Order: sequence, then structure tokens, then C-alpha cells
Amino acid sequence: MFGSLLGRHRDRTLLVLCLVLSCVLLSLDHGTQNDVARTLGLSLYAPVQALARGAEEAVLLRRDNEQLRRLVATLNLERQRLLPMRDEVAALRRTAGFAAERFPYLKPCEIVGRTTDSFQGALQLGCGQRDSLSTGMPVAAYAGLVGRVRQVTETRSLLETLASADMALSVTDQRSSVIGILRWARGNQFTLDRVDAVEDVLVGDPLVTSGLGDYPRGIPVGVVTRVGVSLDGLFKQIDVRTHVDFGGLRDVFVVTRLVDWQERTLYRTEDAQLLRTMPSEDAAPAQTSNQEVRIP
Amino acid sequence: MNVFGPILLCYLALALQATLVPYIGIAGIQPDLPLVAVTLIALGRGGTAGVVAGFLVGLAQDLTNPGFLGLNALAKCLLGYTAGTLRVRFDAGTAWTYGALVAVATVAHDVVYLTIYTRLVLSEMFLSLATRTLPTALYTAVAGAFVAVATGALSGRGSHRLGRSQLARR
Repeated sequence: MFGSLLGRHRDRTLLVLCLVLSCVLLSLDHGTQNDVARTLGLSLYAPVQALARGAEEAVLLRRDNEQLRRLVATLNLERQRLLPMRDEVAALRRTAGFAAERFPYLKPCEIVGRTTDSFQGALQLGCGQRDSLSTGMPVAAYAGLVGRVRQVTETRSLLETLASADMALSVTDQRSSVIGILRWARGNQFTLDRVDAVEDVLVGDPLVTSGLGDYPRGIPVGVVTRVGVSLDGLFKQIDVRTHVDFGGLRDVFVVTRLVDWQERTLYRTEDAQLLRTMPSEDAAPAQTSNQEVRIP
Repeated sequence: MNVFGPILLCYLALALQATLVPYIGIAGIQPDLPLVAVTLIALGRGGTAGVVAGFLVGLAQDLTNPGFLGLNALAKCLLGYTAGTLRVRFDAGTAWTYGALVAVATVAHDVVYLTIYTRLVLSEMFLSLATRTLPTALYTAVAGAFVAVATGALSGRGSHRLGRSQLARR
């Protein structure tokens, strides 16, 4: 009977089968969907990913290495200049009775897949539970905030970028401290909602995470590109462009936990070996200050 | 029946969508090459090939983002069936006619997709249709016209005639 049905109405039979299969997949719970996607995806995309990664590494690795060495050296010098100020701020906060400032501990992760869906901004990371990742962790790139971890398996995880219809992020204007809600419009274009018409926001103002919600305070997000007023005159209409180009990302950093500035785990032993000029964490602030004076 | 061509076309469309297309986006609007591939296959080979190609291409897209696993598969197999079934009424004889068909297909696909994705919240649905679907349809139509010309040239038939005209020639 099925054979005859397939023979006479092949297209309709196949359509019904495909629709039923799609509905079954849609009705699965998130965990099972993830398992199915991982199993099928690994076999389907493995050859393409291996080829693409091989070619990319051959061409880009050397250039990346040089660029990173330069960046590390520059950041190390900058860090030495800022160390005395860090100690000063910590002392002032202690005096005022504020809680000590904490710093994100970053876990580097490679992007191993990206969605081709135009409505859901998502990237697949090559890190998972075995790398201490869990759902909800913020993710940043060199330029700024990228999004948060949405689903995690043993070896992979799914990153929901800011360019997603469901995303709403509390950000603050770094110049005027005005707080608003960042929402995605399209591409790298966002809007800043819930800002009163009388608030002080100007074109060019940098925006950072406000610390309200799941994201740590102070991560760069984007810059204000247009400021107007809504039709009812109650709120500002603000356009924002993010620092991160979500299409061109290759590596990201997951904020796995927050640590004290002074905590030694921020830099591992091999990091210190790489940064041979890095001063010891035990160095007193006064010594650091002297070192800073000698830097031209 | 030669299946190598459609498989290659689908694989190529998915690979380009994931690698090249993010770099040619205009203000965040990108052409939907997998949709172009499904439409091309359905118009060229009929409903059966359209359904299978649509389902497999959609599933391959869903695998990269399993939050709504099956949604792209559902939308694209419906699209493949519709395009394949209605091809006897179409005469996509020129690249621009094919481009127009692709634009309509993009809008139809997104209506199905957004109906489920937004859970029928009409305000979100119409906003997405206006701000994303229409510009995407335009861009995809242009990309589709180029693909139709390219596939026509590769198959050695000059301008690639699809739909009714192709059936008549066979």
C-alpha cells in the first residue's frame, strides 16, 4: 500500500513524511534536540569543517601569532602603568566601604560553527562542560560583548549573540551613566530602549554593560550612532552600533567566573613565562610605581 | 536520475552561506542561498526533488542552531513542494523572472518560519517581515538571478530555462 502510495503520489507522500518528521523534531525537548543536532551535525559537517580549518590555520596562524605577540607586549606595558592606579582605587573603595571590584576570568574558545539562520544569531563553540562552561555565562571578544552561552553539552556549546530577537541587555552610557535596554534591530544595528527624553545621551557615547542582570559591569558593547525623540515625546529613540562584528568572529572568551584583581589565577604559570617582563604579583605598589616612571 | 548536481548545489549553498555570505551583507541583510538552491532544484526537477532538497537543506541549517530543530526543514520542504508543484504554471525563462520567483519564495518561506518562531505574535511577525524579510527577499532575488545565470552557463544551456518552458523542451 505504501509502495503504491509512494508510486502514485510520491511528492505528496514525501511532503507529509517530511512535515511529520519536522514536527517531531520541533516537539523534542531542548536536550534531545541538542543531542540529535550534535550527532547528525558532526557527521555532516566534519569533512567541511576539517578542510576549512586546515586552510584557515595554514594561512592565518602565522599572522595571528605575530599580531597577538605585539598585542600582549603592548597590554603588558599598559598593565604596568595601571597597576598603581588599581591599588589606589582598591584602597579608596576599602575606605568608603564599597565591595572590592572583581574581574572576569576568561576562558578562550574557538568558534566551530555558525548558524545560517537569519532570525537567530547563534554560534557554536568548541568548548563545553568539560571546560567548566555552563548556561548563561557571558561571552566577549577582543572588541566587546558578544552574547551568552545558551546551551552546553560535554564538548560543545551554543552561543546566543546579541544579534538575536530574544536578547535584551542592560547597558549604561559610559559618559553620562544613563541606563537603557539594548535590543537588536538588524545586523550590527541595535536600539537603546527605556531612555527618557530628558536623559543625556549623545551621538558617539560609548556604551558598556551596566552590571544589572547576568553580565558583569564595564564590558564594552557599542557606540551611539543616532539620537532622536519618540513620536509621543516621552522617550529617546537611540540607534547603537556594536563594536563586535558577529559575522567575522573566530575566537571568543567566556567569562567563567569573577575573581579579585589581585588573584593569581588570572595569569597561569605558562602565561607568566610568555610574558617574561611581567612583574611578580608580590611586587609592592611602590616598586611598581618606580618601574612605571622608567617607561618612556 | 542524476542526483550529484543537486547535492553539490545544496552543499555549496550551505558552505557559502556560512562562510562568504556574512561578509557580503548590507546593513545586516544577507541573501539566503540555501533557499535559492531549493527553489532552483524544485523548479528544475519537480515537487519530489523539491521536498527532499528542502527538508535536507533545512535540517542542515537547523543542525547549526538546534534551538528550533526542524523549523527550517519544515519551512523549506513546504517551499520545495510548492515551487515544484507550481512549476508548470511558471515560465522562469530569464534570470530576472527567476529572481522575482525567488523573492516571492523568500517571503512565503519567512511567513511560515515566523508563524512558528514568533508563536503567532502578530506584532513581532509583521515587524520582522517588514524589516528583515522584504530586504532579504530583494537581496536574495538578485543573488538568485546570478545563480540561475551561473548554473545555466555551467550546464551549457546558455540562459537557464526553468519551469514550464523547460518541461516543454523535454
